[in-house]
Amino acid sequence: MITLLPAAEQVSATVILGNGPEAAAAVVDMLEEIGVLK
Amino acid sequence: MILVVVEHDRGTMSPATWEALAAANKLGETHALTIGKAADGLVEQIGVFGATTVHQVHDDLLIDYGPEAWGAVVAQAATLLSPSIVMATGTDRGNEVMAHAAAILDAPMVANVVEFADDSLVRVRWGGSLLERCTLDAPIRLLTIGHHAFPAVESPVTATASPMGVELEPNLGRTMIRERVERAAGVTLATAPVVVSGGRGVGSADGFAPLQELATALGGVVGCSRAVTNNGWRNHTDQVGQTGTRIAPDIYIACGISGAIQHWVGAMASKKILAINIDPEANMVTKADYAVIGDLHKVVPAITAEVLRRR
Repeated sequence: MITLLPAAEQVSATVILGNGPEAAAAVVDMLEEIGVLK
Repeated sequence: MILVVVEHDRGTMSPATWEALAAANKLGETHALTIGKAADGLVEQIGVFGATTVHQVHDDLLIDYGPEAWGAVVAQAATLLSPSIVMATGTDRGNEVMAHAAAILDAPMVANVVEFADDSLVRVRWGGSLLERCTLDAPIRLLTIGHHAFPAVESPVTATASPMGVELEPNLGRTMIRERVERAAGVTLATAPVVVSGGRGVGSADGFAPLQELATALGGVVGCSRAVTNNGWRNHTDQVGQTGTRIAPDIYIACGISGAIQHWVGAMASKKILAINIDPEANMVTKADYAVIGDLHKVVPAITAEVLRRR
């Protein structure tokens, strides 16, 4: 038996780190936080 | 008892198997099945993820991967051991082997399970755009586990090896790996911890140079969307997506990529996704964990400079 599940409402949970090159520091902060940049 | 088919390549166990073992261990007593002599050294590693017994199968047809022979082994093991569930990885190999086993056993199989409920399963279909709740009504339930659906939680036990005999007809060796060709040395797109990818927004083949610099600074590799390979800017071997490589890096940095479903399917297993795009409404931006709104030609070099500055 197969039941198709209704799709949940799509709500974006994207964290906007900034606009333009000024966002670079926030990006690198994030990279450090998730352990990519040690 | 739940029997987990260990995916390995000449004795190196795939991380997806850790997830399958951990998922099985949550459901009950777990045994593992290793196919081929090359996997004999995996007993201790399998025990780390909670399997108490490792059934080892040896045969001349099992010196390397062969889907028909592996499928026959799984089918015979299922018959001999009578597990309640036979579980494998939701990888190309895992799904291929289980499909062969299901055909031999004339049993139903559910691929890419992401959730177990009391009496049902949830599986991923259509490249992740559909979730199906289904019941699997069979004496032995055959299933595979979706990518990163279950964490590889360690539950160390001392596993015991148990040799198991099977009978394989020579014709099961029709499809086997005979030769391997190394495509690239070092980190590959499929295994890189960081992938910096470019789409149509990069604008040209030369436009990938800043992406390469960022990838190098982060110890990663460069990928691309299909629009890029269609334009001849990069090789197909760099393409991420349904018709390219499916990746699962620690972070996927998608630059100037709109996020068509075919591309998303290849990138969705990434632990984190950062989208860099001038369009805040682009699919890739709204689906990503993080986003920077702006011109990638300015944003990417700024990130690289900041990475190098902090080193």
